[in-house]
Amino acid sequence: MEEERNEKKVLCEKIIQDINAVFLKDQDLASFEIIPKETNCNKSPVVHVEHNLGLESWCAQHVYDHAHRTLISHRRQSSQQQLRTLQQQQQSDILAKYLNVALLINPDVTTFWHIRRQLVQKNRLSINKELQFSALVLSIKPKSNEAFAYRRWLYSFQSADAIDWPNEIGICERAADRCASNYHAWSHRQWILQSGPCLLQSELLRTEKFMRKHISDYSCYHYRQVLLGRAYELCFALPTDPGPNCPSPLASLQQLLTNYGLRGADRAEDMLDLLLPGMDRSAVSSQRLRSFLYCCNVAASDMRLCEEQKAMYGQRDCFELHRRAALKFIVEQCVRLEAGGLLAAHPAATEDVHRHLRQLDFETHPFLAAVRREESALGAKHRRWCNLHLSFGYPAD
Amino acid sequence: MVKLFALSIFHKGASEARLLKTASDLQSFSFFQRGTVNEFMTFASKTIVERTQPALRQSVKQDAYMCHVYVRADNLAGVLIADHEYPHRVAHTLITKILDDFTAKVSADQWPNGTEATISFDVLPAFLARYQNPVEADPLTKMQNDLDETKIILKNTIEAVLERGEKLDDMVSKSEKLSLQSKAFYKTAKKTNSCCSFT
Repeated sequence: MEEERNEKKVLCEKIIQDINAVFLKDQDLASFEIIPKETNCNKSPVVHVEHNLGLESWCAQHVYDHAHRTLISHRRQSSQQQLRTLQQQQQSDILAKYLNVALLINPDVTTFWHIRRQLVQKNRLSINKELQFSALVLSIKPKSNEAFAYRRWLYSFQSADAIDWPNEIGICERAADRCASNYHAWSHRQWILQSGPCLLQSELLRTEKFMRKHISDYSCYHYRQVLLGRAYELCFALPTDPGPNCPSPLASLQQLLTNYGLRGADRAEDMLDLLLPGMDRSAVSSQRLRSFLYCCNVAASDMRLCEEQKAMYGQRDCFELHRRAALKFIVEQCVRLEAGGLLAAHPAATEDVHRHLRQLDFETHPFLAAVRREESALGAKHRRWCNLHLSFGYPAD
Repeated sequence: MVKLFALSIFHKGASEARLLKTASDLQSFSFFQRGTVNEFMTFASKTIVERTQPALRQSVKQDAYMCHVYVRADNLAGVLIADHEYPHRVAHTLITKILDDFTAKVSADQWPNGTEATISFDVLPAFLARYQNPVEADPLTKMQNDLDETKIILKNTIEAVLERGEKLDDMVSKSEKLSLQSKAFYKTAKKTNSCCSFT
């Protein structure tokens, strides 16, 4: 019995050593996975092909048990003893070896991530290597919140200029592609949006592409709504002159107005007249108005995208919900800008927007009147939603 | 996800179906799974062609995948494995189109004895890449409005396609086309029925 246990221990040590050797040899490991294989074929269970690392499943449990036991016994020591281990490079390297294996097999143990943090703080692990390791964990578990949180923690030691933000977006996108409704990946992406440089333009392009492919993954649609809100908040707009051969930059908005029966709005000024009829435009900056039109145009193109997707794939909740969100965005921004400084200063003050809409005389606002008229044709359920979220005041059915 | 995984052309002989050409896009699977997934897709395609009567269209759901199959009256068959969100009508239109192209390029006398190596018809990968986006296929589908969607038989599992007394488990374990590793994958996948757990 004792002998058997000893033999197993030696075997596990050997496997962990093999994995560590791959880590040392290959600086560009791209993925890790466990390969189902039920029996030991008398060769190493560590497979390394083209920057991909695999571990055969028959040994995963034993190796994990061994690494887990070793790490837990490290944690059971007194804090002085633990500190001593962390302060010696050699001891730390041994610890890191077990941590790598344990976390790759089971990324959900916060204690292990915590030991890694201690090692980073003692300068025993390099930040770049750690970023690479957490990306590797995400290759086997794209929904690992610990890995995303660890990355954010690592970045807190770096200046924003030194961070490769597009790469970070790429990691989020891969994780979201592998696992639908990946909350952790999308909220990490929101964090990038908040902390990184202005990525709005590329993000708008990327999310549209993603939405076209992952038609039922509402996480992406939601992120796009956040993105649009953020673009508006930052007064973002593309440079106005797109060149003579480009289609009009506001084509989608124009199309939307036409669909609502408001024809002839060819120029930006005409559209502003329709969307903001009662407003003194000199009161706000021209950049504000440009961004307003730009964001409304994005929302309008999203509404059309949702309708096209519905025609292609049939009814889906995502299409319906996102179309509503885009509509709500346009209506709310119109009301906010018109109501002036008070509302614009508090983007979260939806209650004020509603009060304003309830008091609004639709006769004086051709655009909102047209929206109210056309949207009522989309069924009782949609009318109830409009009453609740846009205060359109349709009579109850 | 809207995705096409594999596209293959078979000739349905008297006893078994013969693979004439295939292409696949398995980038979305993890590295070490790709070989196995490929074997399984070919295995499933072949099995379904063998169980489909000539001049019949079927769409068979298996987990998150959809196998669209069309066996023509002249025994030429096309199989398209897609994600379940890929529009069925588009999938079947694509199969019709690719079989027509194949017939135009490869004469019928080569079908019964052809293999992947002997038949020259190399457009499948390009085809697979292009129609990942079903909107690309829209002009095609408009052209072929005669495809009657009600004629596509829907099946909820591969088991439903098998003949009486046949079991998928037995077929997998008996198959000579599947490697030992693939069989291990199949067992594990069945046991855990999820992609994210470790054994």
